[in-house]
Amino acid sequence: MKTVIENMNKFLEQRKAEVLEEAARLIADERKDESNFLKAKANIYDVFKALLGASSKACNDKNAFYADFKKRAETVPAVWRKSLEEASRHGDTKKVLTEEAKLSAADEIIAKFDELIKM
Amino acid sequence: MTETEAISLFKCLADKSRLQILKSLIQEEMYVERLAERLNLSPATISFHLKKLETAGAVMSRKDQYYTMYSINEDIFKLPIIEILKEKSEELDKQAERDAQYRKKVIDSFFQYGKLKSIPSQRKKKRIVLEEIAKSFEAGKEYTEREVNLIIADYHDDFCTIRRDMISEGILERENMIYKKVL
Repeated sequence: MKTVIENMNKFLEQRKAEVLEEAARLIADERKDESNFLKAKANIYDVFKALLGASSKACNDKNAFYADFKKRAETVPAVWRKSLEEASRHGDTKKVLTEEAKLSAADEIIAKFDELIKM
Repeated sequence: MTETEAISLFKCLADKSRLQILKSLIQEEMYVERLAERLNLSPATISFHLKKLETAGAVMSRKDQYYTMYSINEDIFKLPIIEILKEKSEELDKQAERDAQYRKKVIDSFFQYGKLKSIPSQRKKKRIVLEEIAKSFEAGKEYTEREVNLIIADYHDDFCTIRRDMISEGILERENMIYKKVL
């Protein structure tokens, strides 16, 4: 459990840095709007870091921790999915891109977590 | 094109992806997926940029069966930038209104019952006060120094200072001891 948390934190920090680097590259390339979507994505790694911290505090048992984090990791993005659907229906392209960026980070994090707990 | 429209257009153009979209559309009209493939961006990103470009008036769209085709609005790009700069600023009216309010405030505080209470020390305020006094002079008419002094004395006892200030501010001009209001 401790190793999973450490590896997850390492992953979240690394991905956040990579995404912010890409956002900076886009700004340098005069693509500020696209860069802003990546900044929204970068924030998600911090959100999940907080969720991870909350789950590890709440549960001492490994299995309980895994289940708790998975539950949180599905509950939080559910709001974004709903928001994405709503934005798509109304043709709000800015919101669509923001929610898509956030969800891509969430999916990536959940996949990484699943990979780590199987190891 | 209004100032707000010009700002919206220039802001919209200050983006590399949007410029690339326009460069593609100047060749021929295209739909979102084609632009996405061509520019290696996601269709959602292209839709976002197209919406911004359409709002700014840079592109137009039309339905063609299943697709929405986008094309460049050539008219807007044929407009010379100099013409946009020559447009009357929406700010000018507001500025004029603010200036008039300030002017009224200065006049109200320095004049009482048609008399100048004191000569302002701040140049901007003094200028307003002198211009107010200058309204008593007829444009184009020639005045002797005595006539000038009498007119100014109606406002303030220190007519010499005010007369000299009106000359130095370019409100009155003097030639061979004859004074004239500068138009």
